Amino acid sequence: MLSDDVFLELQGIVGADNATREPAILDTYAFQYIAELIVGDNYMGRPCAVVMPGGTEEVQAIVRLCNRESIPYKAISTGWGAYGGSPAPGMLQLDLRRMNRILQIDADNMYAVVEPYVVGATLQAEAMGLGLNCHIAGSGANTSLLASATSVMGQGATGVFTGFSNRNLLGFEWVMPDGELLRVGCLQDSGEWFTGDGPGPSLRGVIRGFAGAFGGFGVFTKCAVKLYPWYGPRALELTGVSPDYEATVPENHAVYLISFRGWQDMKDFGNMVGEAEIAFALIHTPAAPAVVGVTRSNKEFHDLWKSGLFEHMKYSLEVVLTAGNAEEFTYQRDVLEDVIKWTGGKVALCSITGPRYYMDLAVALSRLVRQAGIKKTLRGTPALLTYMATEWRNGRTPALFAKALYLGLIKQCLQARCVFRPGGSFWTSMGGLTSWDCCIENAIEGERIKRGWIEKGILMDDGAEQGWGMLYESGAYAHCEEVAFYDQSDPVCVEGSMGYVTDTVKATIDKHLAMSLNATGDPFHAWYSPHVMNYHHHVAGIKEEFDPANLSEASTYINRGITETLIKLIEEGGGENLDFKDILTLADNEEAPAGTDAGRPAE
Amino acid sequence: MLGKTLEDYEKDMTRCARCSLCKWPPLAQVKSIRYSQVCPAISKYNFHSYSGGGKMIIGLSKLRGRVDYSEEMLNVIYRCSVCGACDISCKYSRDLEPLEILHTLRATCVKDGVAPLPAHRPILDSMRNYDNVWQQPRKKKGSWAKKLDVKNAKEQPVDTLYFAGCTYSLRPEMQGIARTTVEVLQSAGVDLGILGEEELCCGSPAYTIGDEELFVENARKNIKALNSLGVRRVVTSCAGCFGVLKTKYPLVEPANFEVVNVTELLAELVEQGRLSFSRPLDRTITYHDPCHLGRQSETYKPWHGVERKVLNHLVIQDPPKEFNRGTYGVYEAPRKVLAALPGLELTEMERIREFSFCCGSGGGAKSAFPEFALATARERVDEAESTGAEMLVTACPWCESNLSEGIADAGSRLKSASIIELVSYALGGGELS
Ligand SMILES: Cc1cc2nc3c(=O)[nH]c(=O)nc-3n(C[C@H](O)[C@H](O)[C@H](O)COP(=O)(O)OP(=O)(O)OC[C@H]3O[C@@H](n4cnc5c(N)ncnc54)[C@H](O)[C@@H]3O)c2cc1C
Ligand code: SF4
Ligand code: SF4
Repeated sequence: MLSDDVFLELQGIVGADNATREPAILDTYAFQYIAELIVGDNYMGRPCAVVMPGGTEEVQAIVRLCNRESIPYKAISTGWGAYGGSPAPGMLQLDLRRMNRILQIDADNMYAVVEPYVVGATLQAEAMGLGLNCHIAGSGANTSLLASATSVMGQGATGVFTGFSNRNLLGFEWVMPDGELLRVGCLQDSGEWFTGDGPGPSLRGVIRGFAGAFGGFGVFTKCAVKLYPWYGPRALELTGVSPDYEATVPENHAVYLISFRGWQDMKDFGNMVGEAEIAFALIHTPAAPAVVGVTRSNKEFHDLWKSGLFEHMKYSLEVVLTAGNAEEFTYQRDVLEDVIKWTGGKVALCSITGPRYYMDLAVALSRLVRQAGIKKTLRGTPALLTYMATEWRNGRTPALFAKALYLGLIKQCLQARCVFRPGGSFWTSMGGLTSWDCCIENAIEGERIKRGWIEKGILMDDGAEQGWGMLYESGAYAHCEEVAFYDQSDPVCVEGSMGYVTDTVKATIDKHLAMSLNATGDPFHAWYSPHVMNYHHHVAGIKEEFDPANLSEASTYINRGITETLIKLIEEGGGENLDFKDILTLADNEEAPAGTDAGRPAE
Repeated sequence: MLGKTLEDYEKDMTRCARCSLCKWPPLAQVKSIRYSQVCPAISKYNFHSYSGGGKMIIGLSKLRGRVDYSEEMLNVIYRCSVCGACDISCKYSRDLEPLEILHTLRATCVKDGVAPLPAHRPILDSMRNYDNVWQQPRKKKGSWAKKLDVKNAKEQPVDTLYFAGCTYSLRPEMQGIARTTVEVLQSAGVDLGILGEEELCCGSPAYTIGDEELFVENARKNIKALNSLGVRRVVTSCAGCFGVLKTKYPLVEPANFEVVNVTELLAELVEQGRLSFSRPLDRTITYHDPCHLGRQSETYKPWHGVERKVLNHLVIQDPPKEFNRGTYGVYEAPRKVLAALPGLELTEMERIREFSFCCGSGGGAKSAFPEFALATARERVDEAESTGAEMLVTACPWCESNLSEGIADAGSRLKSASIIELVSYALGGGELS
């Protein structure tokens, strides 16, 4: 409970209209998807207040006040996900929505300086106007670039060209957990933003570690992100009415959906196209969310899905080419088509005009016959053909699907539809950063595990399709995560879904696959750290050094005491049998209230 | 939907992802950072609670007994123009019903006796006592048409009834538009009648404020009266009247007439060559899509099904439900009319059609929170100015009046006008400011 005096002080910092203790408003911060899996309710702990600072100085003043009064605090940018909150009530929530400016776009040096509430969609729109583009995390264009770059993961569909969020982080401004301000990178000395390293040791790794501190390490107030060339129009030309929009695929651009005979071909294709440095996007979308993405409602999806054919389009990759001129485009296309030939791929959809669409469809169908068998194809084909005929009548030709796919990949605008519409919610796991080959191993294992949980009735039956994956930095590394859909309003799912997470985490350890992409927070550390050089000592050490009072709420970062208690429990309690949900419950019980030094090592 | 309770929407509310998509236009349509917000409420007040999704969470918290009514909570619920932009952006991705939930939340407040807000009471009382929202005696409702030679639809059979609405009938600064509408339609040979002082309020304010009882009572009276006329169609030039007549009345009782907006009728007349424009306008204009003419005008398709799960947890509606996603709103008709006017150049704003930014006056916002309504209008005026247009054109008296205030407050050089005024000018009648 926040005292009236402290609340008045907070109002004094941010202005009376920008601070609230109204329970109805606070609840809109406590409510989060996935909360039901973490705390067994749709609401995380209700914050004691929400404040909306308008700038860095206000953030500093708030953090200092929190330190003085021992109030745990956490910042959010757009605030999507339970990690922006705390399982325990009483934390002070900083909503950074008012810090929403693009401070600078340096077109010559190809970077943009942004505040926390700048999202992918807005920076991209402005950058495209200057012939540039930015990396947008796979969460979609509605999420914060700063949050992604400084604090959370960073996977995104165009990663083969635009890298990974942590690698795009240049100079940044950081209100450290005690309220001190640090300008990191060349910003500190030169006031320039073009590098996040030095002079002196780089702090980029320190603030982020593997997956980011998820708000548990102070507040980032500004940052520069790298921009990339955009060889397209200043704005995409859109047609259609919601929910069907399409973009004209510009000259010297193309989008392909290519299907393969099996994993090995898909592996080879990814590696070769990555190495050839020709693609703007190179990504595998599982069939179910892909079909959700191009349909208007769950009903329409179901009608189409019932055909059974899409389950068999599992070995597929989407590729976008964006060239600066015709010559380069010809080169990119020729290389791509050669690789398709070498790897036995078949083009199921392609935006390059010509009679090719129809050929492609025929090829796709014959491929389905091969993969699904003639009977299944014959059974499914009427549904598919009825769908296609209806779509055709409504003017949605395959060309239009290609345009919709292009739009979705460039603008990253369909994520929420793909993952939230089917069941209401989703969970993702596995998907650590590793080689593309290892990603495929991940996918195979993930599929096996998911099938079991579908059979138990816990997850939506999406054909147990393997994960959402893509390559980064021309294929230098990659990730493939195991997306699963469930209904958060259904107790059966809420009760069971964590078991799926446990199984995937255990599999990554047992089979030596990469650490789960969201391996952050004490339960994850407890599973992984003993297998990875007891890394939690380092992470906890960093946290304690910068945040001795442990006030920057760290339930999704690290609390040494809790992690170590859980490690012990796993060791003693036959860890193999301890499921993730039990661990979360234990973590809840163990959690030392922030603001005390419980959880810190003895001096 | 009328008569629904928060319980009916518990699953929808629980399934909100808190993704904030309801704060932006459908993501594909974001064109700049400056005009990237689509929800007037969150644009002004910033706390998540003000967004469509935020209000869904408040609904859930109320239903689960986590929160109790307070002045601040009511402020959150009513500082909202019920413009439905959140609904379109959410439904770009989801099968949820944010706007229905906003209505149900308001209706719950009214049922629980904590609403209407004091500022709304005179409007609703006026509807009860005078059958109009402007606290004017019934007799005055027909005064706008005194000098017109137009049939009284009660006395003579007509093909088309012009339903003028309270604002065009009773606001002196708006009455000219109603008269012009009648003159233009008659000049094109439309067999038109009016109801004059016997025209009742359409009931829209009661619906948007949440007084469902009053709305239903009003709608029943209206449907009965209109059905008895035997007209083929009812044409409105107020987007608010059009919205409820077309989409909400079918929830109350069946009607034996078609409801069209004047822009649709004009587009039809243009297409049939029944309006010939001779006077060039020589102007660059921009067009504001009124919420109730655009995204909120989809024909209501009754659905009384249940939710079913297939593939373990894929949620579908049985029988299939057609979601109103703003796809079939009236967007083309006004643009077709504008395109037919000589010397007129339309330059579009960034937020248009189904993701148009609201003018700010709807949902009782203007009466209860004038500063919010004005801020919203200012935002729209700013966007209109950015197009370089000289004139901000719309097709709704509420929009026109609030945007005019925004223009005045901003000291903007923009002029505001209604489509019918441009049409009339191009036909050789009237003058434009
Ligand atoms: C459907 C979905 C899909 C996702 N897919 C991906 C994906 O493919 N790739 C990926 O990288 N991520 C993914 N994420 C995770 C995450 O949402 C994104 O990384 C996103 O970019 C974060 O932006 P946000 O606006 O949602 O951040 P918020 O929700 O505001 O914050 C995210 C976290 O960062 C912290 N934080 C935010 N701003 C600050 C700040 N200024 N200072 C300190 N801490 C801060 C918060 O406390 C919170 O823990 C996904 C999330 C969802 C919901
Ligand atoms: S209402 Fe819809 S768009 Fe808004 S936060 Fe909820 S799910 Fe997202
Ligand atoms: S109806 Fe309009 S003002 Fe109200 S929450 Fe939705 S978008 Fe915002």
